[in-house]
Amino acid sequence: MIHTEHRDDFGAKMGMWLFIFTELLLFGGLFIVYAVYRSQYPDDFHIAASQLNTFIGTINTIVLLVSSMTVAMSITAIQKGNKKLAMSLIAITIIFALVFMVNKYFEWGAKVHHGIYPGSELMLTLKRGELLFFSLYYFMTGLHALHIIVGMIILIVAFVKVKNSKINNSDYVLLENGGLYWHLVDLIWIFLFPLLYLIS
Amino acid sequence: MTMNKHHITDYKTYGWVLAILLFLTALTVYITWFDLKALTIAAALVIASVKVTIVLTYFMHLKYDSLVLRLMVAMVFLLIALVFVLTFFDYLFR
Repeated sequence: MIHTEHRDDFGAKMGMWLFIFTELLLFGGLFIVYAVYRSQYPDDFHIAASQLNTFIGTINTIVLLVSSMTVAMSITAIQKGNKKLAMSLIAITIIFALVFMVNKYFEWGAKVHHGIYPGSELMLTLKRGELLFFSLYYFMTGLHALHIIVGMIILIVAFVKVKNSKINNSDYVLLENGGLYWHLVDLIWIFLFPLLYLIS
Repeated sequence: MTMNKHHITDYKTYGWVLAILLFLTALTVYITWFDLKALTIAAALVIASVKVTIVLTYFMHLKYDSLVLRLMVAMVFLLIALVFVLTFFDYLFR
């Protein structure tokens, strides 16, 4: 088979990495805000962080780590020309992403039920440091959850393209880039989890 | 390594990587049960950094990617670390 179209897989990959850098700097900035306020209000952060549900946080960490493995394995499957296995592995990853969001719903739901949400009456009566912690908690996990949703959409597109053989064992850079995006979501969570849920 | 010959990571490697990542997660949860103040934070951050390095190396395939990509990624993390240090110089010694 002769390929007449121009393809630059390395360029595509580098472009994806450049985009990932902007995401890392975005979250990096938020982590700096967190670090500065934590150093200024250590006791308030301590009290506020202890109110987060460590169990749900741990479950979601495991969910993201396992889903990172399944998406990485789907690339191996497509490279070996095993289309069916690749599709199953992408589908499993999407299901894990859904599980993460359902957990997040229950976690946030419980917080809102207790009156802790941005702009609530209770939030305004909290001490300055606690208010800052919960605001950062909602903003950082919220922005992260948004990335989970985007990651799910990318994975669904990849799934359809694998099904239509648009992604195949000689052209799979889209799946690789989708995988990179999914791993980015995992990377951010690896730092969010101990900083928000564990250090209390 | 030629441009069109890709390294294929086998399933077993990914399985081991996941096992190590899960072990490190358990370790972080375990050490935070002991309240060692600053030491706990340091330990949690060190473990998180190790986990991130493992994800970058194996899941994100940097181990088998070109040196240019690896250097670019290293630079970005270095930049973030540098901004952290500079910010704290300002806040701690003003």
